[in-house]
Amino acid sequence: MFKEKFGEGIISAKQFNREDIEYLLKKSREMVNSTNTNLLKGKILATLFFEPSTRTRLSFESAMYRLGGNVIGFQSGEVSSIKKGESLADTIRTVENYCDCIVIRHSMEGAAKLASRFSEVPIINAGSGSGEHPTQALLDLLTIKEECGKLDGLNIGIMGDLKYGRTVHSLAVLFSNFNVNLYFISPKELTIRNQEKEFLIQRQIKFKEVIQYRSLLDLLDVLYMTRIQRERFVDVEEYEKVKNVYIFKQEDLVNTKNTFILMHPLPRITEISPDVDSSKKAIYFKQTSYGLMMRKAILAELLAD
Amino acid sequence: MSEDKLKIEKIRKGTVIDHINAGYALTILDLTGIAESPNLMTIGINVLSKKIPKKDIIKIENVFLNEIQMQQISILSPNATISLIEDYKVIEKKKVKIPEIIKKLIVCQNITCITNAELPSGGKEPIDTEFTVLTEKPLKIQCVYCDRIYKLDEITFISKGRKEKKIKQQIL
Repeated sequence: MFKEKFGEGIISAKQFNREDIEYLLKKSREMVNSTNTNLLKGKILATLFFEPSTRTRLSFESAMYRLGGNVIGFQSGEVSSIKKGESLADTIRTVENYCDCIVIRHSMEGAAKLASRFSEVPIINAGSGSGEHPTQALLDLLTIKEECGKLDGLNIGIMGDLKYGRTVHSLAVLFSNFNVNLYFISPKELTIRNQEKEFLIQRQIKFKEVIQYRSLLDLLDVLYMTRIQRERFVDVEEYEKVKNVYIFKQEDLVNTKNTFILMHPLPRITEISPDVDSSKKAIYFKQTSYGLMMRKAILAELLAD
Repeated sequence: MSEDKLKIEKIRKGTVIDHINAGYALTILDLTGIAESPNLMTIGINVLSKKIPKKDIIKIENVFLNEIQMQQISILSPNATISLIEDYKVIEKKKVKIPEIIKKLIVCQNITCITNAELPSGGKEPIDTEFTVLTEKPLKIQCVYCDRIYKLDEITFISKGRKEKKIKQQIL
């Protein structure tokens, strides 16, 4: 069923309803104890990363190897034929012949959508410019579900660069399938985009936009912090103005609930002080292990015979 | 026949575009390329109307609209009607209909949208722009690729002969 619905792959968080998400969360949990290392034997995953990546690419590759499959690909547009002037459409029409699934990260919004139009094999969007990053949002939901025990009824703060942060866009869309209160915390230059706001309004999801976070700390169950996306700014001066706008420090934890969790898709720059890392409430490194579980589940569902 | 109607001459054969949102007639002529036609045309701007306070109307001799022109009109003026005229009589009258997906007609202004990607060769990706119509009245469309949402006064058309044309007028 999942394979049929997601035949073109995972392009956008908008493809998911609550049932799809809960199904993937369940399958991710099953992956922890799974001993089947031959599930994807003989399958090949292509990872086309036109933009840098550490966690996303390595976790997809690790997931593929752990399920018995193989991986081909490149880590930079500089080493591919794109550098020679080849279109993305042509690259996809070539690579699809070498693999069973393509994971793509690209600097332009809509790149994964374009890829899905030219590919017979499923496309997984691993980040399209400042647009979307749906598998990160899925692993974030898995993290919350596992750490908080539930998704409904939570107060969730999403803080930082909500304009250019692609994980935030996908996350807001996925949360619209649950009964949550969302707090978008950002400087006025980096507020969440209109398209996400309109989507949430249409789905009658409660959200508030605020600039300061400290007054919210005692009511939040989850604070999801994001990096200010330097590479997306056209004007460096604009980046300099906001780059250190939020720095979460150890003393900020004092006012939080016992069950509070602090998340971050990583990489972290200055927005979370290193002295927070040792707190049990700081789960951003654990989040990466949920990433492997989720990506194993996704690959297994899309590719297993 | 009202005094206003008398002011706009009847045509023997051709097309009448009626109930255009006031102020949009010239934009429609320009965008559809009708303005370049050598045929006789009469244009009424801010004409009093029974249905809406004011409207524009265009009558063109010997010209019949194609599908693209009809779509362009539907985006600019969703209430417009198109009448085909033979021997001074209406032989067919239809309302314009906004398509669910608008292809090739509108530019996405997001410079980081894949539809605007410039390849090192100077070319572009082999795709057409594509927008989903979210709401018709007021018009709101969304780029299928980058998801950016546009209202009518934010739309930039791909226009024949010229690369782009931005709609400057506002709906009254």
